[in-house]
Amino acid sequence: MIAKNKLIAVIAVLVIVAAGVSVYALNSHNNQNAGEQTTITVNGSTTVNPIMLTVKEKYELKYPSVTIQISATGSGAGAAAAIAGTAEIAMLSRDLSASEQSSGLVPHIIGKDGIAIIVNNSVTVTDLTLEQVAKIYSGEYTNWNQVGGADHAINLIGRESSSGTRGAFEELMTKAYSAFSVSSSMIELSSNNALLTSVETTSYAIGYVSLGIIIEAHSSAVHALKIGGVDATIENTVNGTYTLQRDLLLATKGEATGAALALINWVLSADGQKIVSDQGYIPVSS
Amino acid sequence: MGICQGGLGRKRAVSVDAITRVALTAVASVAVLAIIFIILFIADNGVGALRDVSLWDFITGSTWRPYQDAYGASSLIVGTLLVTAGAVLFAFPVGLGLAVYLAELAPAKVRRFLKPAVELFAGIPSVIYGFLGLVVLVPALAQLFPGQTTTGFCWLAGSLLLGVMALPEIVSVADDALRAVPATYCEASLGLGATKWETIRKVVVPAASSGITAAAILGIGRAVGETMAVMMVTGNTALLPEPLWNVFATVRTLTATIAMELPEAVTGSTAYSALFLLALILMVIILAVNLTARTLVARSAARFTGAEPGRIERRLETLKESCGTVRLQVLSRLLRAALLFALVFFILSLFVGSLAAFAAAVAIILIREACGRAMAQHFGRRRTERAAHVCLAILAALMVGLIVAIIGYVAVRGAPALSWEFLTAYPTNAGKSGGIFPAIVGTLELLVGTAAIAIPIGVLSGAYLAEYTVVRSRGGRLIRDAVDVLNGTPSIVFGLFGLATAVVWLGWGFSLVAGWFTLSLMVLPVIIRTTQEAVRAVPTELREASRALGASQTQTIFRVVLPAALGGIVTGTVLSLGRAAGETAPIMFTAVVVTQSRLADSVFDPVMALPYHLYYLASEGRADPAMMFGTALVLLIIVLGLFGLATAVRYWSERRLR
Amino acid sequence: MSNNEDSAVLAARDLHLWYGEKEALKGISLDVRPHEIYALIGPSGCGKSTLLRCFDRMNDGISGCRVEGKVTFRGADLYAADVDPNDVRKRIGMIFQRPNPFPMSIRDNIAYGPRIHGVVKEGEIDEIVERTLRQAALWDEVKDRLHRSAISLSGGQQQRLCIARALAVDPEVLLMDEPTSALDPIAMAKIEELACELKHDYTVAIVTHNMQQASRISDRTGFMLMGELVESRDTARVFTKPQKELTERYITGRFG
Repeated sequence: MIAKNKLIAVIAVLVIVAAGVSVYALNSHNNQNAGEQTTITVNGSTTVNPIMLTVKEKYELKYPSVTIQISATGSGAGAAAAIAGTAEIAMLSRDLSASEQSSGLVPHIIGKDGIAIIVNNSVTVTDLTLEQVAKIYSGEYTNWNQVGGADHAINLIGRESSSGTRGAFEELMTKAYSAFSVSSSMIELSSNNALLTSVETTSYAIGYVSLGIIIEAHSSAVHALKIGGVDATIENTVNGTYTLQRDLLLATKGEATGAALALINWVLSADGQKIVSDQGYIPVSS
Repeated sequence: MGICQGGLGRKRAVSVDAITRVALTAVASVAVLAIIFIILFIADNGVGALRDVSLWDFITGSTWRPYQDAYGASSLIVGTLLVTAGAVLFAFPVGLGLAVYLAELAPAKVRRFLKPAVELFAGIPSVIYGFLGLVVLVPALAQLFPGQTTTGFCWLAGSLLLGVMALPEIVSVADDALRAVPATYCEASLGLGATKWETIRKVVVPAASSGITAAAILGIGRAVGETMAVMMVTGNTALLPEPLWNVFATVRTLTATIAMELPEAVTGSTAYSALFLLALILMVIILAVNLTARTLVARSAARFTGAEPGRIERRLETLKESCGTVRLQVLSRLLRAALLFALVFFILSLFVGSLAAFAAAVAIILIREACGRAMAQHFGRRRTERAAHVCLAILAALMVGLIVAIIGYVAVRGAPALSWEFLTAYPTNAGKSGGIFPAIVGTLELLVGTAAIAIPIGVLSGAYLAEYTVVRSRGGRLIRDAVDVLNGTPSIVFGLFGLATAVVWLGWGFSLVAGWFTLSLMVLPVIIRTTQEAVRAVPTELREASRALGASQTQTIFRVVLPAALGGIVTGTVLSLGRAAGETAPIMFTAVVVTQSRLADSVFDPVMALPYHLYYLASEGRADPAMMFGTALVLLIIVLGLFGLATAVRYWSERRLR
Repeated sequence: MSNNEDSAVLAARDLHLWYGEKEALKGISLDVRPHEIYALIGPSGCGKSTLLRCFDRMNDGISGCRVEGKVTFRGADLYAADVDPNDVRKRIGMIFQRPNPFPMSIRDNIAYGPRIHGVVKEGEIDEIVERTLRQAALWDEVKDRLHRSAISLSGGQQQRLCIARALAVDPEVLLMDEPTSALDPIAMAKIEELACELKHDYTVAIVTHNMQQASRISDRTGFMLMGELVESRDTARVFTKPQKELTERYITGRFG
């Protein structure tokens, strides 16, 4: 009887402690803001995602009445959400399409990013021209020995249709090779990280990722190709010699106002731009 | 005429007992409602996909590329089956051997320490298995078999992990089945001069065969429904392996597909519906698996209690008779040979080519069939027994070693990260650096809410099932079936349901309440089942004593039965909370975010949680190992702490009643 | 309508009981008179416990159980439709074959009954605890450890505790279903002594498979065989000059 009571007491204490922690947690920050709670929904590119996540951390600390909700479903899906009104800010890693512009989206460039062409370390090739890359992705070259590598089929990996990285990549490919059209044998993955992991784990694979992400990843299983002899580095992207690059945007339906405008302005400020470069991207005003 | 003759008290028009019964029935019906709603919502959300593709094409099509509008799930279904088959092939013999050791051979002192160790095993969260698989197993496979896999992500990795995860369940159920075999069977066999090992092989194990098969099938169910661990190690390509038995091929399971693609699917799109359809297929597989297991367990129970066999059991018996005993023996021998063949083949194919492995496996089977008995006799019965005993003891030691290794590795690599700052600071750098304070708090907040909802409903439902459905009423059976189905439902299906219902339909968004909603449903069947068992275990004499003193049934339940069952109830409750703390899939789509700079202000805010944070760091965030191991260690401490508490409670309560 | 029926505390008239298809009690008629000890003897399975349990409606919970005939308590029909079975069991207590104390303290075991029936004041509970433990001849042994678990008592002490617990709700009749068959001879003797004491304040009906016990303590004895009451008379007569041959054969050990 006494043992049982002791047991109940112990458990009760634990429950109370846990409950207390939660109640404290739920209440502690409530008292700080006298004003209303604002939520900003952000949706879109997986390339821009790490930037906005870090922005959220700093911004919410600075402005406790604001909550930023971020989901990364791809540039195209993000734009669609902004048009439909389910998100206030869309993140894109490519330029707005004509139809997106005519639907009312307004772009704000917050940074620049290179696109790195990465290959699994089983591939011995280190340098390709843009045209060669375009032909590989069109399916014209299907074996590495056609571009100076070993005799092995090329494993083609790319992004899903909503991806801004893909959109930007394919636009650049079309500029380099007018007959470009994506091969149907390309495996499609839905985020920068998924693609990176896939190239890391598939021998003789080739893929394309955000330069910022490959720089951050320090991967030992893949290497980025030189394009036309030029290394894929931030410096080369800034000075323009590395031509595979695109703008990173935050887009709103109509001109940005209120909380969304404040957020975008902050991203464009020195603090925000520092986050952009810390994450491995290129700030706007460099 | 108010009072009867002799002054006997009058019955009230509506007795307290009637009210209690109605109330408890209502509470217990929550389980039925839950399963109905789950199936309804999943089906409702899933049929949308059938606008674009027929069901037949969906199941048999081989290309799964949702963004190209190709919805052929066959490679996913096959992937699930392959990974499960590999897991069970490995876990069943090992689990059976461990169960035999635990039930029959282990000395009492060893058993008292080994059994809780097995249950501890069951407590390790799947995301930690996945994480360790990612950082230890996968690179190890890449190093050991460089010719066959460059990266180590493969079907084999998934099966090994799943096998280890299914092991505790198989061992527990098989152990129970073996111990249920009456001692008289053993005594009869030993009395005829058989050795203990022969008795085990030829009498005890066959007698417990229904229960053992049920164990295997439940292990299968667990493997089929597993999400996180397989997602992190199988490579996730939606392709059929070539050749089909190449264990080093990368595969993708149904569960991994749902988990990976749901975050990116636009709500309401065909891709979104297709994932719900996958969940439906998953449920169908699990239901079939559970139904088989239940029939077998019922048969095994009936055999020993002499209860009236039900319809299915009787049909099985007539089937058995019509087959004839001889034919059945041949069948069972063939089955055993086939299993052995598969095992040997797969193991050998790791090291030599498939053709050589095939030939060697066939050779081994033939030798065993032809000369097995002669070899055994030559070896000697006593020596066989001793050899078996030693082998199984080694197996048990290996398992304990594995548990120690797992926990130890996480502890050793995670301890350096456990600074006060790590535990109390907020994350920075998109969640990859800094501290995990909000994740710890979030996990606790999820637990408290889940407990508050699931415990009352679960305990009262379990009490209802144990007290009122002794008579086999339709309603009681319905509730019991619903609880069984809920119990077997994979955690990712709960996650989907939580998303469709709490987040979208009820409009709560990603929030703490949505997490509570989903997690309570997930732990409900566990609490119901353990309460049921605890209440059933209360001796009838206590109930009779209470009734004989003039207490109503309500008073008896609440003042005698439930307090007496408290130990078992608390154990089950704490165990289920331990499980809830470690689950990722249910909260992935309902409650969690990747990073927070302040704690949730209200229950409608999302939270961070340790299991999801670990998953994110390991697969998306590519974080510093110290952070990952630190997170894993904190999670492990919380979960194992809860499991330890449950075991301690059970130990105390057993001592009290003795 | 004989004299006996009016003064009987418990009476059965043509009582039949079925468990599903099986008839377990076949037309039993007997009386239990006030302040007597009535013993029911007979071989295993003859229905003595079943009959005993009819008197406090403990057979109610058993599925498929059907009762026909009349069972009365002080003339009132126990099975009338508007009778509250809980009240029946308050007034007619039962002691079981195996001692079944609750896994609570000794004090709480005894307090359980009164609390169920509405007694809340701790002072009253203390009174009841002491009184019943004295009645059960257990007070001196446990008065210093009322808060210890009842499970820690010996078998005989537990059974006496169960008796005290039954007395705590103030019954008028005590039904004892083989109360000593799980106890050692010394404990058994103590219970028998207790029963003889209790009959001054209560009426006792006891089922026993131990004939010597029946002959030692009971005033009247009923012999049952296969669901029928063969003979029911003064104990002395039953054991020295039984009327029926079956009774004689049972007593002399030729069967059962």
